[in-house]
Amino acid sequence: MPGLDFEQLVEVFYMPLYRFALSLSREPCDAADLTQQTFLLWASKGHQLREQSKVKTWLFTTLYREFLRGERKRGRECRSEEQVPDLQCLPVAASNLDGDVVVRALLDLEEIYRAPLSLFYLQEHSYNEIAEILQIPPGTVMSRISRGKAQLRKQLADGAHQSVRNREIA
Amino acid sequence: MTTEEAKRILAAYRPGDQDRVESCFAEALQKIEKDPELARWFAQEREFNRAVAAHLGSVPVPFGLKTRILANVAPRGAMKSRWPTALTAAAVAFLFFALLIGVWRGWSEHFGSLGDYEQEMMSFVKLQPPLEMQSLEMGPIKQWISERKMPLAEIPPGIAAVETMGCRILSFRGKPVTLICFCHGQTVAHLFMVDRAALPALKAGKPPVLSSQADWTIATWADQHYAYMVAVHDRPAAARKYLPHA
Repeated sequence: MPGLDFEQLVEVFYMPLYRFALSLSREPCDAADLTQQTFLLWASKGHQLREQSKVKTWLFTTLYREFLRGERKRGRECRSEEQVPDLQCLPVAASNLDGDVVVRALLDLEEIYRAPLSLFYLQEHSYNEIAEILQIPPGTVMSRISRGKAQLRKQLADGAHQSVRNREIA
Repeated sequence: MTTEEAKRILAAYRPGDQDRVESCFAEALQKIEKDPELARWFAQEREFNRAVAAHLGSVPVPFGLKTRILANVAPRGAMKSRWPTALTAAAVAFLFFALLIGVWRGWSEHFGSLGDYEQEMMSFVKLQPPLEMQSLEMGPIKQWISERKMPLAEIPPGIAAVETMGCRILSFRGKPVTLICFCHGQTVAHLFMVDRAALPALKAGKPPVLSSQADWTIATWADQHYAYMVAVHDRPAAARKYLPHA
């Protein structure tokens, strides 16, 4: 995004960044803080970015790193992929999906699936961009998107997900 | 390539058609043409993707977040200006003369208007920001604020009599704002204090001015040094007891 001034940059990215932050933190307040912190870091370090075409990736990568930093501070660790069982892909009729239910189901996914799926859906990042943002190999991105969708479908099909607000975060 | 492998790859095919030219999808896309079951799966997958993307893309963003970011984040040469040097120089010269002839005063009032301040501070309250310091007593809160050399004025007696919850430092146009939260039964009252220079339009010594934002009552006033704002999620009559001269 060459040529954008700071206000234009905020205008273009603050909403997708907030939604990505919300998908990670699951708390509106934390998501707003993460979004603001990302722009704060951009204001102090963004000028070091040589390729202006990478602004989008830089912002999302920075937000994700800040989220992980906060999780480490709180002593929370993400589960590794090996611990999550494979799920059979269940059919879900797209036309019957309720917006709130979809969002709650996504927020209830494991973090390793929530992050790539959110990026995939929110800003239509390519799998290569998602790999760069999350610092994982492209093949892993594909696997996580595929398994994440299977989990999402299972949650939607079961209708067993609970509201994130009532959920006790470990 | 097996059908399962093709599904795993095609799961990362974006809701739009941007990935049609991506080489890694080519083989899986070719397989669709020969495999009706895979084609049916892919059509359902894309419909599902479009529905989920639309729902996630419409998640509401807190009111005032953009203003809050712009108010709190002052870019330090973050991006190259699009203005040519000559234009920038002309702008600097204009600003200099504007300062000289007193235009600046009007501008600063515009950029730090009371309406902007009220809206931005209310956006913080509605986001329910975590308090940086929590205490049920005013003493430790005052000490915490003083140690950080943040705005701290005499608390109006009406609100000082209420139990405290804690405090947080915010920012408005580069000026620190002290927020202290009080709890009176079910009602939470928020007191904001900022250097009066941040709000030149607010005249010192006048009685508090009350206004409403949705279900909230906001009162603003100033003394010689500080500008005050109290926000209460209640009717004006209930908010008056927190104000000076109540």
